[in-house]
Amino acid sequence: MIEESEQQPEDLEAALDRIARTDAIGVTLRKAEEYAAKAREALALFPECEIRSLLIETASYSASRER
Amino acid sequence: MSKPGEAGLKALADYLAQDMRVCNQVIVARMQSPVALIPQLAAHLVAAGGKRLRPLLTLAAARLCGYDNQDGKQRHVEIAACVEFIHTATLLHDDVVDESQLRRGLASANAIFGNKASVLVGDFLFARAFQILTADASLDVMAILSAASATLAEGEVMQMTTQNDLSTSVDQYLQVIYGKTAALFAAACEAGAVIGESSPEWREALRVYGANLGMAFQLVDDALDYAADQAVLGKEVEMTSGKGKSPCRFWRRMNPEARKTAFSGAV
Repeated sequence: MIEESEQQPEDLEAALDRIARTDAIGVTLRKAEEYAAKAREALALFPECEIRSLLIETASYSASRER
Repeated sequence: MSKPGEAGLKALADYLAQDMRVCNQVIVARMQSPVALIPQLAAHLVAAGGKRLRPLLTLAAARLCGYDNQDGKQRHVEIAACVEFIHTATLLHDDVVDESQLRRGLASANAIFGNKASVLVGDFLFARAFQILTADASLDVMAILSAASATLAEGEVMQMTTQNDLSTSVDQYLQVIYGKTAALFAAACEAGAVIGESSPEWREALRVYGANLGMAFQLVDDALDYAADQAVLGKEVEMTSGKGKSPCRFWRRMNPEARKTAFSGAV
């Protein structure tokens, strides 16, 4: 239906239902956490300091934010 | 209750509050023009707020690498403003391409001022960004941010050309989000490292940090489009425009059974 661009109003609900049933959002969020972990690891060679800690926290935020 | 890390972002903004204040002043000053519609439209987007995460990254990277602006210059602030201009220009263009009516919970610039004005003011902001770069006169910073600007455009074109194509692979999807989001995060951090006169190792580490942060950020952004209440997020959930975020394509991309290619560490 996407390829034909002929969606009906009920198609959106069907698509969202399919996303929920297949845990597509969970898969995406777990992938995001993998990237966030790589971001945190990249800062390992910097000496410990406040701004490094804040950047590490920002990486955690990027994968856990709600808006 | 705050989520893990949320306090960290606020703490980063608080830590850099003085730099961000100056950065905001630079943004307002640099978007002025005798052509009244330009500052009027730009102010609409700037006033809508947003996290200002990209300029914060430039400021943070510069400070992490020891930039202390004791020379009286404000290079980190100027380049942070430049990064925000590049980002804002792409937002203006994206909302036209996507026919979006909402941005950050408010009417989008194209909804208020029309598509032509949004495209042209976006062009102005890109041009202004490159004026800031030439004034800074660092070939390294110019190379980083001009390359990121080209990658941003490539990401948007790739997104457009893969729309409505259900054979788009996960790797292609990751390429799109690297181009449209992560490349500028990486450049924002790397430019800050250059301003801080960092070692090549630190510069590369900050580039990698920014790229991975951007990937995480955009993945969550896409997931939030379908998991969060539309009004809370301030965006629209669409499935008919064929853009990269349509829920059917999102399902197809992220459904473990439907995936043809495995996720790979793209960065």
